Amino acid sequence: MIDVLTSYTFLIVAIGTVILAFACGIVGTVSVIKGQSLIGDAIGHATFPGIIFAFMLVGVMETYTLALGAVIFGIFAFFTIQIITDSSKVTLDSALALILSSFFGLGMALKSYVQGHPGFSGTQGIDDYIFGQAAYMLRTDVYLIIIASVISLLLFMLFYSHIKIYVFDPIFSKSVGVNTGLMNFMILSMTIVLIAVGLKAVGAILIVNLLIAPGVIGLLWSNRFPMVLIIAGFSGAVSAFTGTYVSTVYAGFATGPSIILAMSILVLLSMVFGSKGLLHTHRKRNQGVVS
Amino acid sequence: MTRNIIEVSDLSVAYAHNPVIWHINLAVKANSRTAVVGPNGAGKSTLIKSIMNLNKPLSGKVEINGKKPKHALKNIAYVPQKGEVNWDFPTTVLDVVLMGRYVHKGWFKRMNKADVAAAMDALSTMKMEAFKDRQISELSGGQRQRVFLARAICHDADFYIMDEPLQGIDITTEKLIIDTIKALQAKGKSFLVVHHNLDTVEEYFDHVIILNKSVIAQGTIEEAWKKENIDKAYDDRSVTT
Amino acid sequence: MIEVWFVLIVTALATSILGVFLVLKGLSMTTDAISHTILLGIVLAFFITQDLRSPWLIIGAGLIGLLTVYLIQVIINTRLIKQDAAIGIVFTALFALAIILVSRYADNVHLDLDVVLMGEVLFAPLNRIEIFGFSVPNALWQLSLLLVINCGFVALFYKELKLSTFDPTYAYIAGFSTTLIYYLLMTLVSITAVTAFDAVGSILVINFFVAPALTAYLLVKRLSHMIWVSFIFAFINSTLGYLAGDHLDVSMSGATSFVAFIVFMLVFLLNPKGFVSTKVKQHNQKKVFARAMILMLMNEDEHRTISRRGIQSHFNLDDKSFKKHIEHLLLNGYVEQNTDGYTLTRRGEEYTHYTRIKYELPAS
Repeated sequence: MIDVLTSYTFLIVAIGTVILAFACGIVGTVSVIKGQSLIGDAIGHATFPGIIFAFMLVGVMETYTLALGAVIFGIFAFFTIQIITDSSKVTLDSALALILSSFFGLGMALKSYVQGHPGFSGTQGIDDYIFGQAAYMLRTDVYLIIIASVISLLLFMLFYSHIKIYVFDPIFSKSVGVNTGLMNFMILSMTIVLIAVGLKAVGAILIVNLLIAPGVIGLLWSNRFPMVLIIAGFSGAVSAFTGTYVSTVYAGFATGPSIILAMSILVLLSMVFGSKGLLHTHRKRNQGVVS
Repeated sequence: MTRNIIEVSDLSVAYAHNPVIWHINLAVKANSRTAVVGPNGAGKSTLIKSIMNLNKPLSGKVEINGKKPKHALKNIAYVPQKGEVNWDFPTTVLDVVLMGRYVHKGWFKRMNKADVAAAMDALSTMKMEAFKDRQISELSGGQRQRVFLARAICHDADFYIMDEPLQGIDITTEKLIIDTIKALQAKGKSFLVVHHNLDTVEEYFDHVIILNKSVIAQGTIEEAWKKENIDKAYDDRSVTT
Repeated sequence: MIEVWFVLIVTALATSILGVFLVLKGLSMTTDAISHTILLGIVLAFFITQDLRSPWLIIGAGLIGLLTVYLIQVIINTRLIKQDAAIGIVFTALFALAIILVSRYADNVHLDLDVVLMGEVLFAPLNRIEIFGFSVPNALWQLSLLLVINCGFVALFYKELKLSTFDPTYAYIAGFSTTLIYYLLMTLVSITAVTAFDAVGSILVINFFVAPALTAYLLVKRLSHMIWVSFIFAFINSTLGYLAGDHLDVSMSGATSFVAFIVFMLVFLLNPKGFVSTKVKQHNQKKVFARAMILMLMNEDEHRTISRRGIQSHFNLDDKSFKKHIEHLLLNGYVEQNTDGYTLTRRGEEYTHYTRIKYELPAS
């Protein structure tokens, strides 16, 4: 089983998923803290018709085009949600459910059209984008993940102080000269792009987990933003590696779901054992230290 | 005759085509403790946000030390209203206070020992050193307010703008905050504070601006803090007729 | 084929009546979580019974649906994780587990993930049942029964549902068990979702729950009206979806979901208080406001006569908008032009009094 670790396919897939999960963990933490975790879910589902439109336009499963289609639909979905919640009494909760299911419905309709149409060939790969099948990732898929993740992480590091103050205290951040609109836009674009490049690895339905779970884990272990980010990044990476390994060694374990399961186990453990988890707060409460 | 640190001339601000403040002309004296009072919806928060250039006025202008607000922000320490802050944010007390140093550091430089020392000084002024590693969400309302004032002190500005700093806090903290403000005033700092408790205006401040959409009265407490002015601001009829 | 249309309509009606309360109670994404996790219930029950048509599937999935709601609640109650993150984590975990179970153990039996996700309403008429001597599609029979049950539930608990939706605290004080109502509602949601999964798929069913109710929500003021209007939209959406699916030869539930979105957006944009009319109104208000402000300025003693430049610099106006405003004011006789600039007419002066009252401006 050790030779799995050095096999070419495994390495390609593992590099891709680990870097993706690391970047998603860090960027996603911001939305978890802002209480906007499920926007990523809606965007994730909404990218699916974008994939198929892109495929219909070019006729082949070409990584960059499909990712572009996903990004465009992700942006479209986000702004539709924004407009609906801003100018009607519809709540974010409902708007997310509506957009998520409508766009996914469009994707399903297009998928049935493409698959029933003799003009299109090579359509069996479409399902990989719904459930994620990292085993079929190509070199270009991994390159794209690396490019998107590295750019996102660099931007995040560069604007770290801005982002931190903006998320914690938006009006104060404005008063010291932070461009809050730009920060918001940057976080959003990073989220959408990471979702788009990660679809093939994890799938449209489950990708939101990569954005939420690491941040949640980080928040269960630390009081400090930089520490939360680091823990989030690494728990994402560890889950991705474990999930990829399991899916390579055991038949029938799709990569995406395996990563999500590994991550879920980490969440559960952190809820119990984390320094802010159940056991710890329970002990503190018994000693009467909690303020 | 003391210098004016802020001069506002003919300032009007509208949200969604409804004037919130109207034809404001006012001056804040340097080295003063100036309170802004007025009923709910009088435009108090709007006024201080306009002074800090956080919203776009319909007309008029603001000058801080003779400069445009945009160029004077470094010299303003702002203490936000409670609701503006994301309390779930994972950050410790010391970390929040250090945010006050960001303006001086340039954005991409790291904090050094001197910054931490300044932050600890500010914390000890507010009697919060013991809490430096606590998460901000674990503090009481009064303790949070102390932390935000410590951040403002750490900012080391000449001019402090505070939005209802005394709302919903314990009496000990209230006294500490006012004592701190007075001590800082003695060092030459100036204050503009949105205040809601009419009973304590005379005791806590030396200047007052009474606001209800436009300025009803302003000046020293002796000049402006009169019953007829207060009645005029808090009586709705005087606005519409 | 007409039976397919019937199945769609009955599904839409049975889901949208519950959807009204889900939307109002802020449970849309919780329902979305259920619609994903019932896959796990279906898979587990399928392993036990080895039969995709077994009623145990409905019970198993219903139980998992309830478990989902309960798990989310338990996690929120620990106060360790916020609601939105809790929903996102619970549904992805259970859904991932279901997918692994399917792909690992169900490869040799027929449990097609495609059918689970988007259903296949076209196959619904193939599976039939004898009721009172008539042969009807099983799905139609089951969903009609659920429609009756859901309507009965809403009729029976109307008062309690209404109260626990609008004022849970008062409902609690008045002695209604809001928790009982909540879990009853979520039980019906789970059972309806799993029954509908054959026809419309587990993910798209969320659209059938919320889209008609949300569209109705934009139009009505009363709860009872919202239910009836959402029935109408449920009917329209599924009919148009059926036609579109039939003509274009695409998934009917997918088509219905997207049609529902287009219908929602049309209502959102075009209803009398909708996006377009609000924007137009705002634009007009902005113009009226800007003109009123110009007149107010000219009403001040020091600006009795004011030049074009004076007005423009005061309000930061560009040439084009200044021209538009001043032309309007001249045409309506509010101002007049003379050699030094502009002055107020008597009519303009009167208008400033009106403005002062309208915008509640203090006397200067």
